[in-house]
Amino acid sequence: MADEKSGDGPTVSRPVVDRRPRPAGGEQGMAPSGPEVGHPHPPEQVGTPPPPAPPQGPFGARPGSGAERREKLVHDGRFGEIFVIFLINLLLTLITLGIYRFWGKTRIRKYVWSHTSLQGERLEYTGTGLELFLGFLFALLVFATPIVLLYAWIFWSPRDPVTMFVAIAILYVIIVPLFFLIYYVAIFAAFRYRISRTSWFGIRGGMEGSAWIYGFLGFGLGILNLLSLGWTKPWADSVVFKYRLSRTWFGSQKFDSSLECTRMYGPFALAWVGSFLASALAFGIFGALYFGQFMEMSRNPQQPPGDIFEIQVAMMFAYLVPILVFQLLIPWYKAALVRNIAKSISAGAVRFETRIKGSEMFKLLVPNFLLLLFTLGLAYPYVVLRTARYVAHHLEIVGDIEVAKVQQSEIEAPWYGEGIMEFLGVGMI
Amino acid sequence: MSSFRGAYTDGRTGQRQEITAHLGGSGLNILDDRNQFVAEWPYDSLRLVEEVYAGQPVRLKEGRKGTARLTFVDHTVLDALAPKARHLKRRDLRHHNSVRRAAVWMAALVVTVVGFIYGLPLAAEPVASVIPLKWEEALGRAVRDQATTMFAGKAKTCTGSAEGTAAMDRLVTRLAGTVKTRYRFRVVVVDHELVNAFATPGGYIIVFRGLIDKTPTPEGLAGVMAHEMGHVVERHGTEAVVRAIGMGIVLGALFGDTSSIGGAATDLATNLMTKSHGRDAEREADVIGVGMLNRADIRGAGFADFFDRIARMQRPSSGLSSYLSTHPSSTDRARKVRAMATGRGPAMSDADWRAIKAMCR
Repeated sequence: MADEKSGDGPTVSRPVVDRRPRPAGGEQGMAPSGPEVGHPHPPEQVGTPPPPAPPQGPFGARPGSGAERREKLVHDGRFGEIFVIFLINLLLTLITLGIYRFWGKTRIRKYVWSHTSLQGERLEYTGTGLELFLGFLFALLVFATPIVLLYAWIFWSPRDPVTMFVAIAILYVIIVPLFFLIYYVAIFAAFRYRISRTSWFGIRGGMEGSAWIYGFLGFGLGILNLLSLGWTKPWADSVVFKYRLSRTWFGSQKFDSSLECTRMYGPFALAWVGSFLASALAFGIFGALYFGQFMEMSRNPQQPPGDIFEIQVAMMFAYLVPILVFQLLIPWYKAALVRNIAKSISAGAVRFETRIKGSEMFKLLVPNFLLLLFTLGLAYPYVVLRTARYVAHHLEIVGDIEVAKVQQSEIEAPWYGEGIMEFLGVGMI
Repeated sequence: MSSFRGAYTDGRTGQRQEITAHLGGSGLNILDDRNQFVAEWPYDSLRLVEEVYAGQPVRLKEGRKGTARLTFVDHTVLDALAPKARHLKRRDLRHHNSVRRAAVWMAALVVTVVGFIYGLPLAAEPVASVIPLKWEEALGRAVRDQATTMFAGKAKTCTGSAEGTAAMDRLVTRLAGTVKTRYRFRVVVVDHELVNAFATPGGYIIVFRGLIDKTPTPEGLAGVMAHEMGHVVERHGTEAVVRAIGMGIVLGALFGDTSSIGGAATDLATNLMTKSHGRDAEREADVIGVGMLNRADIRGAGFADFFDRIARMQRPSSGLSSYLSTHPSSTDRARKVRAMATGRGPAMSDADWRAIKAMCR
């Protein structure tokens, strides 16, 4: 046990915070609770028992006196090892025409989780490839059903303008919005799955709340963001993150979040105004240079004046420049988001903190993107490692984590994986 | 009997205790520091929580779904367990040589990818040849409907004159008589200024009005029709569809069809592939087309003149754009057609030619 610290460090008696009802006999692991088959001598009785206390929240309520304990995650994954996993995944995925990807993804996650530790105890990923595969099939069903129904209806209907109009109306008024709704449902479901499959000291995470409520919330806020030309986004982000975070549990310890958006508006305004100006500039230049030719080309596509190729390239640049500027500026907003999220989270007396700056977020995200782009994805394992190291380096956990007092989660864990997310290609790992 | 120091969590609380695990006759006996019994895990129920690499603690669970965990920092526990629980070997990667394994798997991957890239196009021909005629015709109808709506807005096909349609049918029947094929050829003339024609799988040939307008002689039109019929006879369209689907499956599997970077790579690869096959297919269709003209005794020079006219319409193209284009250069094709052509007669009567020219009025 040389490099492994015991989880119950300095133990200070804490008042109650955990309001979650739990069955009798489970008093925070302070005492054995009746006869337990196979464990005639429950481990709780062994070693130095913590001071007797009334029922209390596992992580206490407020910081104790004296210097607070500050800890960081440690990530010790090695490129050679994860790269071999990645290569094998690629090969098997190719040979199985894609089916293996779910097992491959699970293997990568198990590697990343088990090489991330806190207090010398490694995280554990308990998900399986089969769960991800079932989730994928489920997602396929959810996505394919409306489309298949619509096509079947079109197929059996007379081909007149009215039918086509109704079909297009159904597609845009019902199916497309439905997909956006499902997208947010999927984000929630994916986080719930990953959290429920993550454990530390044998205690798993859990997530309460309804994926559908989250879905409607995200969908509604997404429409609001559109109507406000993006200006409600920091607020909307704070609402959805708060919804998820304040429903997250580690075993019997609940997390809370007091996320506010006011301090995220500055960096967001920078990205918005910057890309707006870039857009105006790019289209202004394009218009000045090519407007005449462009109009002539649309009048007479047979005999284009000048080089169509040149106009196409110029137009592509006019579209890409604002997107590029946005991507270069958004790390400052993301850093602010992450800083505020970390600061807002509490789990009893345990808090989180990161001082990551916009420039540091930039150095994470932009090289990640370029690496993936120029290696056609082969750099993926390196990008995963790099990101894990960044998280470990920048995230601080403040306060005593009295993991010994945490009980196993009773929140129901989903039986299937994050299929819909997989389908939409959201999330890196 | 050997024993190992370790840590134990029971999966009900986060409390961890120091234990000693004794290797017994049938399993691991787990005892705490006061030698009290904690648990006994049979050897065949032991599972490694994750793959174990050098420098990583060994974590065990009982059964697939067990929530209690045993952690050993001392790796040699795996060596001691190896004879009793052989199944643990599979996730024991302590002696894993990353560089050697990466080289081996990389080589296997390259061989597989190259195999797919060269194998798929080879497989396209046999696969396309077993596709039933009905499927091909259904596919062709779908492409035809798509094209006619896309180009003419209201699906306006030129059926104006019965004489024009009859003249076109006579030409196609005459050309079709020179080859043995299972396809029925059906020509659709679309009222659009585009100078182009294409063949769908299953025998539909779509000709745009622009092509009929710009073709100086009926023999030029006959050449174009013969060329398109050549595509149908050789199943180029069907093969392209088979290739695209196969490529889509493989590259989708490789990159994940949803990620944007993978998507771009997939598009690029599919595109390049289609283009290079496109050029080969065009040459082949030219050869078959000229053969049909020869057997029908139709002057091939008209076909060559048509290419010359196209070449004059095109701006001089650079080397790169000709490489990326689906068709070989028109001057090149004109030369090759002239060299192969042996036919001497006309393609149709002047009256037929006037009727075809008037089809879209």
